[in-house]
Amino acid sequence: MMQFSQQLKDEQGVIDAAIVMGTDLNKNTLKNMDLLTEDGISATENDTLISINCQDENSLNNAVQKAEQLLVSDSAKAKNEFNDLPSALDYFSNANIASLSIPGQFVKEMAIELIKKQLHLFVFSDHVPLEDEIYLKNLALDNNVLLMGPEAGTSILNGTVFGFGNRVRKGSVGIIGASGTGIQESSTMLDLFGEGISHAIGVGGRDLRNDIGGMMTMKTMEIFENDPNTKAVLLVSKPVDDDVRNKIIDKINNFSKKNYVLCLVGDNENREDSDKIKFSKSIQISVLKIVKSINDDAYKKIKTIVGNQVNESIKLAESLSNDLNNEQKYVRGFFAGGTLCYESKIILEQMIGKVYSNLSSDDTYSIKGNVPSKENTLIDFGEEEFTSARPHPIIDPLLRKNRILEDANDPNVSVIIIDIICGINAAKNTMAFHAETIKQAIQTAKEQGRKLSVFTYICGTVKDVSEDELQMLTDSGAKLFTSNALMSFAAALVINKSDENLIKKIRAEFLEGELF
Amino acid sequence: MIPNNLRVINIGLRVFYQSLTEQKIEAVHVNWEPKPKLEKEIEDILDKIDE
Amino acid sequence: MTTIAIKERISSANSVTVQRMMDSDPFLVDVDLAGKRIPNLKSKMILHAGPPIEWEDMSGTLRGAILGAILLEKWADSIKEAEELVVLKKIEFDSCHNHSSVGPMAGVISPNMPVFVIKDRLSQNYAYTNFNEGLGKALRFGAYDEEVLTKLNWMRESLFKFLKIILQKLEKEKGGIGLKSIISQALQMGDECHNRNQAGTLLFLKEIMPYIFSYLDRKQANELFSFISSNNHFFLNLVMAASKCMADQAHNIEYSTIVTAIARNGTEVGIRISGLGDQWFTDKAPIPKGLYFPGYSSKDANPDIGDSTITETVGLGGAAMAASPSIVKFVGGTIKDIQEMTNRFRRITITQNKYYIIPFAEFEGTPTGIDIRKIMQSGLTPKANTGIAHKTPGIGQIGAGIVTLPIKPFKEALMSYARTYKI
Repeated sequence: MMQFSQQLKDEQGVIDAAIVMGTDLNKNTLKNMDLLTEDGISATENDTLISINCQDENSLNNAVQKAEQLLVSDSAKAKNEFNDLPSALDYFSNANIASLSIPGQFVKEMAIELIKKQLHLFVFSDHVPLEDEIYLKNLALDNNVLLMGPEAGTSILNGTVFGFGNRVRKGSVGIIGASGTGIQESSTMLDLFGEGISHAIGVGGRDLRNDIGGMMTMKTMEIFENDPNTKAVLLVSKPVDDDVRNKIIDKINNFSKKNYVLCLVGDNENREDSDKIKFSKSIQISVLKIVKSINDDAYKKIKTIVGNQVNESIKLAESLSNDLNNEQKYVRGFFAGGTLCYESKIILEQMIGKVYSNLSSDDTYSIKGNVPSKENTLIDFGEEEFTSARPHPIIDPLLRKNRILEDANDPNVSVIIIDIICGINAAKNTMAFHAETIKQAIQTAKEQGRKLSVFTYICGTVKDVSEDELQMLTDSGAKLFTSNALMSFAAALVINKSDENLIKKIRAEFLEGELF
Repeated sequence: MIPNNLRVINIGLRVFYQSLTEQKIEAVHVNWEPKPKLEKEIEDILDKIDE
Repeated sequence: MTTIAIKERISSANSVTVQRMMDSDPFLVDVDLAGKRIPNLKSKMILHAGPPIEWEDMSGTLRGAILGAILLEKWADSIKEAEELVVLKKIEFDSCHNHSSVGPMAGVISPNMPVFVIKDRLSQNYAYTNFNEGLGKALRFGAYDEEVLTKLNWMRESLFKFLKIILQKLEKEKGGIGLKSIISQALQMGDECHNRNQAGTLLFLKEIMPYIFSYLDRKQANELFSFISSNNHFFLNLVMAASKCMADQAHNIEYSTIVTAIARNGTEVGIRISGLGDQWFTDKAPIPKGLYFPGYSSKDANPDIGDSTITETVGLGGAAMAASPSIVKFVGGTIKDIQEMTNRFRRITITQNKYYIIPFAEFEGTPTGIDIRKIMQSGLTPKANTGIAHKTPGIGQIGAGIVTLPIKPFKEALMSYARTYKI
């Protein structure tokens, strides 16, 4: 009740206030505060006295209302928040999942306690030491719980998003992702194609290395194998160490009755598809293949639509390249999704040659994200040099906005490509924000006598992005593409008119699949 | 294996807790803070006498 | 000594410490005048709560109580005279703790005040405490007006007499009143035994009822009964003295890192460690965080004061908060504060109490045996529920809240430990 007195005193126009029981002691106190009225004097110990001294009638009415509200409603603010884990576990004793987003070096201690209590873990934290990850994943397996991560950007369990993710239809594809935005693009694309997911499990970017041996990937494969709702499984990753890849292939061949698509973005080999296992180098193709494996009719229709989109992109690119002046030579890509940046880089390198990037392993073409662009440049804004001091670009798009505007000023730029990640935990109004930025960028170039193209890949379902928002983006002058691969392909064509054979190769490897 | 009714303990970023409750998931939040960094002198003493 | 050897020594010393703390068996056996029973209480000496402190450094609440005590003792006829006495250093001050005593809030005990006499059956050692005056204006909050002094005089004349009659009979027939038994029961009835003592007070009353009927006349019985039943904190002082008995039992054990006293004098908070003798480690007393009665705010508050944190020292009070959900609203918290408080104590203590069991906490014993190593390792200090006094003497209680002890005394204790034991 004293809390309420305090809150009342904070109300507009209230000079002093008290809510107390009508004991003699309290009445005396009220008297000393000039808050005791006739009613107050005659109150008994069991009465609640509300005494308010106000500046005017209005504030009094307001304050009385507030007082009644306080006495009736329960203070639910911060009821479910705790300052330490043991208290939370005491209160919420049948918890079954924990989501960790604390600095990586502190994860182990917390995770051990949680695993021992049989909770599955979603570990968003990065910089978890490798030894800790190995230890924890072994402990998790011993305790028969999942450890999703570390550095898992996304998991979707029964439609609930952990980390970043999209409102995707429920369906029969299970996704295993060593990449957050890989899961995001593939799941939203499935949704776009009329399909859906059972679960999407993030296993962390290191799970498929030889030293971790695919521990959680294998565990998830078993889960999907035993899940009647999952008909086919899509694995999304960057290239995987040989031993682990072979282990996975063996496991599928020997123990699985379900169809698999292995999407290995950046894979150098051309792998042959088998009955059960299909390979892909791009997210788009992996989604097409998995749709084919569960619904051949739908696949045929979709394939046609995709083919048309590709043809239109080629035409668009040609028209845009005609509008360029002689100085405009380069593409700049600024990404919130690491895997998307990587996929884009692979495609661009095949079509226009080497690109500078902060994802480059090649020293010559390695460039830090926070220095000016050089020639063709692709930057992942989720990398260390940005996120050590600021939130992830999916949550906070400011740094990227500045870069877009900076490069819009560069007379050598023909096209800027960006991914706009929407959905759960993405920046509020991210579509409006980016529309504004793009409008400004194109305007800047226009004022300097240039036609600047801005291409966007929007990662989101109809539940994440409204028609109005899409319109806003179109109105800004941006060109919208339904996949990261398509956007990158089109950008490359703006820079370089490619020959027929190269286009066919790219379409076969990254856009549509074997028929090309 | 994946529970039908998710009951989540969120430790760390508050926005993640909020997004879970917005998705109508039963969740609680732990305002995690790192243990205070001990002065070298104290840490040395504790190393010698603490379990 | 090797690292393993010293860790083992500490481990076994601590084990002995908490065993002795818990096994101590305090009985209320008598009441008497402070000057007659309290060791080394000189004729012009006044004891107070918390670590030793001089007049110049005392806060308003403590000063008020001391001036009131001087008037009560008739060492001066007016406040002005009383102040002169003090300034001229005619009165000596010392910590209650240094004289086997404890007192809540200002905790002032002077030679002619009646005190409870508590005896530990195990060691035959004693502890003493004053009588609780009740709610409203009181000496322990620094009030010293006519009303306060009148009541204190009645307590000395009548209450003291009544209790003396009763306890003499009780002690002869039953050996006195076993306090540990009442405390354990009270914990199962909603008391945490620091800020909530309703059940303890009632249980005490139950114990003495037959003796009230048999040995007091109607008028006396009425007076005694009215006094106790209108004061829900009557039992607090007895819990504190019982706890003092237990803590003293646990004190002076070589190598022990267990805390055996936590006390505040309104200016500083002080702690003592079993293995470090009578040395006090202190820091500025904080202002409790909490709710204020209408008309008051933290600007009016006296810094934390009282020996009542002797309860937290032995596994009661904050450590037993799970026994008392209703205390939570009183100090402005929510139910989950209970879990957090309990877990906090678990992290800084070495055992669960054998005798103090809490049904709400899965029948676990309260966290007992505060270890300075655990405090420094975790960065967590004990917290306590407490009353808040006005900083101007004479006004009284203005609120209640939770106080978090500062870490400095524990840090200094650890460093002193390292020097003492040559770590």
